[in-house]
Amino acid sequence: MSHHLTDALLHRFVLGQLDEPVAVSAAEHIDHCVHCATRAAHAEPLAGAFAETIDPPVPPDLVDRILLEAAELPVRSGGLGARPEIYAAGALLAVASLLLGLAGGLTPWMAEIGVSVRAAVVGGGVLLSNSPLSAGGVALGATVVLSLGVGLVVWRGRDRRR
Amino acid sequence: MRVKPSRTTRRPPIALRLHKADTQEPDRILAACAGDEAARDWIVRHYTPPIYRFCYRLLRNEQDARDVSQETLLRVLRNLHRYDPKHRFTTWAFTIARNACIDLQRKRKRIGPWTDREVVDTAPSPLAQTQQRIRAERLERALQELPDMYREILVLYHFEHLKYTEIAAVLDIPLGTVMNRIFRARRKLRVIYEDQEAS
Repeated sequence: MSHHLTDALLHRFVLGQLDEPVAVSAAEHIDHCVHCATRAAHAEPLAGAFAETIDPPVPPDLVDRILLEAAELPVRSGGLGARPEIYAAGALLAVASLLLGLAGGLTPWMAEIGVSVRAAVVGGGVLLSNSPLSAGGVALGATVVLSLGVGLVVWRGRDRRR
Repeated sequence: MRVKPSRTTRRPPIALRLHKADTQEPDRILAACAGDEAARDWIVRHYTPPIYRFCYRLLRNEQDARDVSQETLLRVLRNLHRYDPKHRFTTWAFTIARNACIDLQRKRKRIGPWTDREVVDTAPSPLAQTQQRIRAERLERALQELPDMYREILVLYHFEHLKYTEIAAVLDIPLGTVMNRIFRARRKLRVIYEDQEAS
């Protein structure tokens, strides 16, 4: 951390005498600066009393009791933050983007993508008709095309918003 | 059956409590999310004390704090597959604890009187220590007189040492609101504390 809050600013901060935007900036700094966080904690008028408080004792059997109950819970491992609804929404988006692309698109840039997608589908179809690919291969190809379509739509959309 | 608490724990110095980082924590949490039993046990052992303290200070009742902290930890374990590692685990766990406390308070529609807990000395007790304890108990009593919205924000900051941005996430309010609320809470607490001192 290259800079620290001045004593005067810190003092006004802990007393709540700063305007909200300045207080928010100071709080963000304190969140990331151990030095200023420690100074702020000591500058608080009731710092001494807070430091003298004694934490309530945790009942000695509580952890064991929770562990006992936890042992009966089913363990559901899986993707972190993974939610089925997100996957469902992603699949719907992919299908919708493909349909829009095939239908010519709502806007000129979607139409451009539609041309690419149609070309990919037609090209893929020709290739597939001449090769002994399995149903899995067809599904894989379709997924790749869909993903490319979604990626292009998102990327072009972002580009336009900038 | 209620088990008598064995000892109170003295709080570590502020510099040690601020910004404490357990380098193994992210790995353990990832392992727990993947179903590792030892890591799940670690979560229970590591998070039960802060969650219990938080619930105790919010609910002001030992039995309620036990029940709610147990429910919180079980909810955490049940929903580990939903945890998003983009957020800090502590923030997520405290959010669940706070919701569980609010659920209980709504169910009860009333909060029981502040029950004084037994305070056991962990060191010899000269006069200075007695005065220290009196000041600490006065602060705890002043805290209990604050409205819930002020008490919870002070507990999260001054006792559980969450960052301001983390408190904003737990309470689901903007950072500016956190700052306004925490300053008002401190002012009110100081008034109550000084009134008690004067009387």
